[in-house]
Amino acid sequence: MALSVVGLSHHTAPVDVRETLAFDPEEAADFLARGRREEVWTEAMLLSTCNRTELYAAPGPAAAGNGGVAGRLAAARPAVRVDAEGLLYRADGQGAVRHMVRVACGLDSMIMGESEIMGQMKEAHRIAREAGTVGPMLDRVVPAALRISRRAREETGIHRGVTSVPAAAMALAKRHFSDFRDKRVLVVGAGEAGRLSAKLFAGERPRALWITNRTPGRAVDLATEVHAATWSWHCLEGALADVDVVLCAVRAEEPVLTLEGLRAAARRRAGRMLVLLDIGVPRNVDPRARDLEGVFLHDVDALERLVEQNREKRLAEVAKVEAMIEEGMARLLLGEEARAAEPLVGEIRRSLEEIRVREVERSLKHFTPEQREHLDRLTRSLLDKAFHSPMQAVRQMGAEAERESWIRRLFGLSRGEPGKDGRP
Amino acid sequence: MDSLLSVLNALLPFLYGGLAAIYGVLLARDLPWARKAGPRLLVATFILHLGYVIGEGFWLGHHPIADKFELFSFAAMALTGSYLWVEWRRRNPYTGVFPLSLALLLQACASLGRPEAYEVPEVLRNPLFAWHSISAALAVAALSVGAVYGGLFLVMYRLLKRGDFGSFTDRMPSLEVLAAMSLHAVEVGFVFLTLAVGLGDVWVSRTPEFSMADPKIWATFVVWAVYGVALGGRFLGKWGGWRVVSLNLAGYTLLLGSMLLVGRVFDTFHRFTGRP
Repeated sequence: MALSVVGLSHHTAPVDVRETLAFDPEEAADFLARGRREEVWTEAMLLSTCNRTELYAAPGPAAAGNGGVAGRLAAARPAVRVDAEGLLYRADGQGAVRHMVRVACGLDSMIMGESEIMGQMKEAHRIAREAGTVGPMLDRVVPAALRISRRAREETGIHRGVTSVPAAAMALAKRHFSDFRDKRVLVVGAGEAGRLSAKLFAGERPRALWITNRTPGRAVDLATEVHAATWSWHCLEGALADVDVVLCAVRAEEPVLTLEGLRAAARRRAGRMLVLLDIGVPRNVDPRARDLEGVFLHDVDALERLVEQNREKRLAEVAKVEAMIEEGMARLLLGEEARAAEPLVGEIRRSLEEIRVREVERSLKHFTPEQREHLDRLTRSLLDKAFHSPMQAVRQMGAEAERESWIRRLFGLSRGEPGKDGRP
Repeated sequence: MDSLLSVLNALLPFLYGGLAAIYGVLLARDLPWARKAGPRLLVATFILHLGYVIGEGFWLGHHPIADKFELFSFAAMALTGSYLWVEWRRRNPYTGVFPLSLALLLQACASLGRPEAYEVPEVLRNPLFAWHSISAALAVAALSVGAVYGGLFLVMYRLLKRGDFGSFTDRMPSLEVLAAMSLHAVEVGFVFLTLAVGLGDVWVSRTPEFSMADPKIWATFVVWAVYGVALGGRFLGKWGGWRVVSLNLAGYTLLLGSMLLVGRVFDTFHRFTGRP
């Protein structure tokens, strides 16, 4: 298969280099169309995400003169000598296809099994199509890669479970409450972890989302960003009687939620659940609070344990996904070989048909017009039936040069076109 | 007809056994075939069981529950129907093994104890008694569902308190949903229990063979009161899940006690049938 991949990813390049080689959709379309016009490639697709930039291309006649597909990609950002510094990797033929499928399945991602890559690959395919650089090969290979990826996600646990601490906090909250539309959530802290968590909770559309921070201005900024309200830092423990979930992510030497405050709140709550997600280090909530009735306290250790469990579960699924990839690859390559062998099959059929027509014509004088028609049908059917299996075998063997030479000899074909008399 | 009913009677425990096994596999391994087979067998079993109960009523010429084994069978069917509804509503099949194991136990008792033939005393052909016993069976089924989900709530509560995030807590519905499922089932069960107690009292007052001094009646009043306190605390005192569920489980334990122990210790009660 004439497909190559050239690119860099989080495996080979630091983030500053990846940022430099990133393409936005317009740039990508322009880059792809230019390469096609200059015949550097006949088909191409550029996959550019925060963790990778990869160019999948079928090299064209001008590829050699431009330093190849890799040279063209490197030249797109001359500020970084990605090629010279050995940051680019490259694979051709089956290797390129296998790489695309592994990327689609999330096996090459920074977070094993992440699902976002599927959407990114679909988008890259769409951009390439609009740029006019998608041909029959990419139209077969990209949907096949996405199909295998979908199957892997349906039949294995490669994408299951959260893999970051804020997402783990959200997932744990969901083991207590399944619907947040009647819940009140308080986020304590407006730093990066607080911001990420607040965004996740805002996505669940809680009845109330409050942000509180020691510096009120930062709480106001975050509250504006996530369409939440602010809560006074000085009345923090006053909120505990009413809220259902509290996420704490502040840097503080002493717990900001004390045992006394939580005990008083638990009494007022009469056993109603209060979920405390403490992702602060040092801990923001007095650990003795976990003994109070109705209070669930999950600290950063518990959340990291959950993340680690999920990572291990995903790793355990890799072998299953690899097996699916091999199965999918075998099917895809079989189809490709059959397609590649189609011209040869056509030649053989034409050659056989010539022999049939010649032999029938030679005998025509012995038959009446009606019989001639029967004879024609009979010989055609005989030929179809006798050569059905051999033709299938030829399709399965593909168009590999040595095999093709043997097949040509077997059917008496000359190299390139059929022999005039059907003999070599 | 009798032979068909006998076959169904023998078949039902095996069907419930199969269901409990498949739903057990679903909880433990989450295998795709179990995800498909479980709900299908569940629907088929419920339909067969319903047919069995109706068929037996017609064949024996009395209402569906005139014997404690019929009560068990009816309760198993109602339990299965309740679970079917829960699974359809919540789209979560991982809790099925628990109510269906209970249904297996009830149906196994019912199938093993089913008499060859018996006469239903005239006193039990009273329609008031029919409504009383059907209400009691539905109450037992609903309160059993409530107890199963209440038990699961307490297990999840402990696991989450301990920070145990294994696949069990992953597959179960959230704590809030488990509490709601338990509470809704108890609400329904409480209504039927109230109905059963009320109809039973009216029936007893009209029937000289039975008396209000029967210990089972007093035990049932205690059960009713415990459930009443739990529901009152929930709606008036805004009690949280743990307290309400604990009280509900206490009520269910008393209910089982009243069904098994009182019936065994005091032989004056509910000897409805003509069987010895």
